[in-house]
Amino acid sequence: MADPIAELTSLLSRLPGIGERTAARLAYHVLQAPPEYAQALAQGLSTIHARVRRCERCKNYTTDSVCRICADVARDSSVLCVVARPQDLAALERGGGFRGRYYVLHALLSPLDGVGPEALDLPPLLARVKNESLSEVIIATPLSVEGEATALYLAQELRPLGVKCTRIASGLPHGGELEYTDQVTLARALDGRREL
Amino acid sequence: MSAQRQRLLRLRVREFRNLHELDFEPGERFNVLSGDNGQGKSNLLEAIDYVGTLRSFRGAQTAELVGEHAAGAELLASVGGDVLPHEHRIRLSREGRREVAVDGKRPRSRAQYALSLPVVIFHPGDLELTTGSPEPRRAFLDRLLERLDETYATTLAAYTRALASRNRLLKAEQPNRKAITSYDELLASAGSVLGQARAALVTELGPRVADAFAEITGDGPPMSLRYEPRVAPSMQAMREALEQAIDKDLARGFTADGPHADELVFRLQETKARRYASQGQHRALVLALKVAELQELERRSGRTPMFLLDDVSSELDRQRNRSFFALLSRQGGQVFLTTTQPELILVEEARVDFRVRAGVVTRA
Repeated sequence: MADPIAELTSLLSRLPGIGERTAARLAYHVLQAPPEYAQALAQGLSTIHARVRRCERCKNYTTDSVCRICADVARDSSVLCVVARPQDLAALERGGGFRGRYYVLHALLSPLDGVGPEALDLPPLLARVKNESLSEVIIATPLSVEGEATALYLAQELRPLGVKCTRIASGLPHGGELEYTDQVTLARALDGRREL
Repeated sequence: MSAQRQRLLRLRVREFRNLHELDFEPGERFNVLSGDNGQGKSNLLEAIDYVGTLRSFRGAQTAELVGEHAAGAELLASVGGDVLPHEHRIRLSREGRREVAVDGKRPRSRAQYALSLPVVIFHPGDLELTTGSPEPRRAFLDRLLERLDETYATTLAAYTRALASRNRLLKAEQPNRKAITSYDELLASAGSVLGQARAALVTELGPRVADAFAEITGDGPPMSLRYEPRVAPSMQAMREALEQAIDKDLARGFTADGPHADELVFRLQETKARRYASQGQHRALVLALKVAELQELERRSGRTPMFLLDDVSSELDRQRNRSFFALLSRQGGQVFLTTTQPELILVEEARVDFRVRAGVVTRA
């Protein structure tokens, strides 16, 4: 018979950022806590896939068929912001400065990891741009090689549909020193300068 | 020159390759490390170089540097001279982790660290710098720029990844043009930064290499060094080159234009050295390039770099050998040489001889 503690440890160690030792610590912690905690944890884990699904319109995580933001009639329906991950959407929402709606890609163009253009689920996005009278699509993918390439790829797909495509500004971080900034970022910051 | 003299006062090594436990106190100027092959001379040189560059000149991974049955290696270097004394501590683990501390503090960046203890190494593999394909020449410029400019490595990594991605898409069975050209903007922006940095570095190095070459060879033919980019390093030019070559790139399955295809050309009297130089001239060229590297590191760091020479004795004839050591003598830094024949090292003054046997160093 397999060792249940070792089994749990091995499962936990597959989580990101959790090594073998931390996994063992967590397994013992769960075992030594009141059994109600283990039951609640198990319940949470076993139902997460059934309870959370992707919004039919924006693909953000939601418990309903359409997410809270897509259902909110007060949101500006003429502006759409494209992000890579639900976490990025959550970060923008925390900022509170954006009142339009979103589209979550759940992937970035990354041919070296086997993610080619066909793996990006674009048809629903393209359909929205065609069918809804959008005035602008803001592409807010990260400023990595993958995020930049995905942004440019999206722009090439969207522009023929006659919608205005914009990219979030990039440059120096808040509190950033020019001295320690790489040349590519500095050049971009200069390109994106604005009048005072 | 107003550079501060800096030297290695003491190096303690634990479990670095075949060096189990070593305590080495080198002399101020010329240190000649002799011994038979396989005794650990080059390992000691690699250890000194690693303390300065955090990179193995033999291209070894961190884990490979750890002694055979050890869990980890440690290098402890005491540095002094005109500068304030510093303790550099580097720990390497078998799992490939590395910890670096200067006086107990982690350095801010690799470049900042590398400029705090500049070192230049010449080893037999460097001879392909002037004879072989262009890759090692571009790599020479890249490795030096990574040490001179904190942000160069980031830009190079982004360029390399974008290039590999674009090439992967070019090789696809049904290539997607829009996806392929999505990398052009990145390649143009990072590529122009790389090309400009390399060209500026070669402009600095060129006259220094020519002077050092003239001094080593006596009355050798005049030489010149030029960076020859395949596409001019401007965003506009690179964008256009990528756009125009897309059909050809699709046909050949890779991106032809960009700094990854640039050349560094050595010329002797207007002819390309790669083809027409003699063996002796090739050696003199590489040594001259290393002298120029040393001078550039000195200029940028304000400190006299250490010069490490692995197995150099047979590289030059007697006259060039003498001229080369006279040049090193004038440079004024600390020098470490390994050789199987110490009598071939034509240095008399300020010289300390060491014997290396089975991973142990003793004063000869």
